[in-house]
Amino acid sequence: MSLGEGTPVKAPVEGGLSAERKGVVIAQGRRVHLRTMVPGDLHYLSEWVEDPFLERMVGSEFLHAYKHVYDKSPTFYEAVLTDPTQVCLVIEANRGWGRPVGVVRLFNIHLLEGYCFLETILTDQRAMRRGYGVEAGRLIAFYGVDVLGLRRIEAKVYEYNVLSMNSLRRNGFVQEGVLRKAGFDGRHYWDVFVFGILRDEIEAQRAKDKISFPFEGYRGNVGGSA
Amino acid sequence: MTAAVETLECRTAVPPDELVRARFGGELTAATAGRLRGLFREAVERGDTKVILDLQAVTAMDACGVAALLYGQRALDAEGGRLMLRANRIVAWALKESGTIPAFEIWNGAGM
Repeated sequence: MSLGEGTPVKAPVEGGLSAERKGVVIAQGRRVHLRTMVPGDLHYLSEWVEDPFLERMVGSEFLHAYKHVYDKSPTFYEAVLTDPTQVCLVIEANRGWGRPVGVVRLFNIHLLEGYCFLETILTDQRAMRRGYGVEAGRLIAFYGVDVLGLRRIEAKVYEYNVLSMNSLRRNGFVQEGVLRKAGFDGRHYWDVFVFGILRDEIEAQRAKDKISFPFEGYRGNVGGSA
Repeated sequence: MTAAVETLECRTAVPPDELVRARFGGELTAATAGRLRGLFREAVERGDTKVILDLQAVTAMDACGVAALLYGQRALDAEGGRLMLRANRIVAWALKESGTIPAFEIWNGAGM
């Protein structure tokens, strides 16, 4: 065997995931870092899905699925971790917070075509004002380009969520259109704004911030993407 | 999941002798995919560009795992090499669900 061994083969438990799983820091920024999910994060998810403010501002299918499809079952963790169309990372403040401040994820990932969608769920309103969501979005966008080989990321925002729109713009996203009255909050229909960013625009953002991917330990993707 | 495996074709009956054998087991996810990328980089540096990768012992695989395999496929291909995968149900399902299965050469013949 010339190529070498991968990770040691461990005895699978609880449906195939190793018991030793711990959160691994995937990207490190100045204010926040992103780590992989651990089973204990479901505790926080259980709180967040009951927050009406989050429901109104984000309307997350991710949180919706945890609450209504999985009924807050622990199996949601495994489903997320083995989903080949999404990357879900937990946002941790570098200092001053004793618990995760949210979740950021790339979903509907089309690896061959090189595009996906971005969702940032910041659960603490104090964190929103400190630019944590902006940096989390930037970190996962870099990760998407460098590690997943993406060339385009899309995001959708309700017309009343000005904070999220500003965050996207600060990260170089461009508003590309409006889905008229595409959102429904149970009482009213709202426009949904569509934002997008391309790889070279993400690269332009990279120069503005100092980040690292401690776990990957490299940059670039041989062969590029579609 | 079963249906995904059933539709997975055996595209090559026997792995060619010139392929370097390798294995990767356990979780192939965001937490571990960087390791596999590193192995591909090392293989290219050594000139081992024709590889058959046994993934029979993979227990979980996400988008990062799939991306690592694509990375390897492209890295080896760029050097005139070749990557063949030996996939179990988990891997086959992930490749199919992610729409990347056409990008890979799959071998599901006898053990390595």
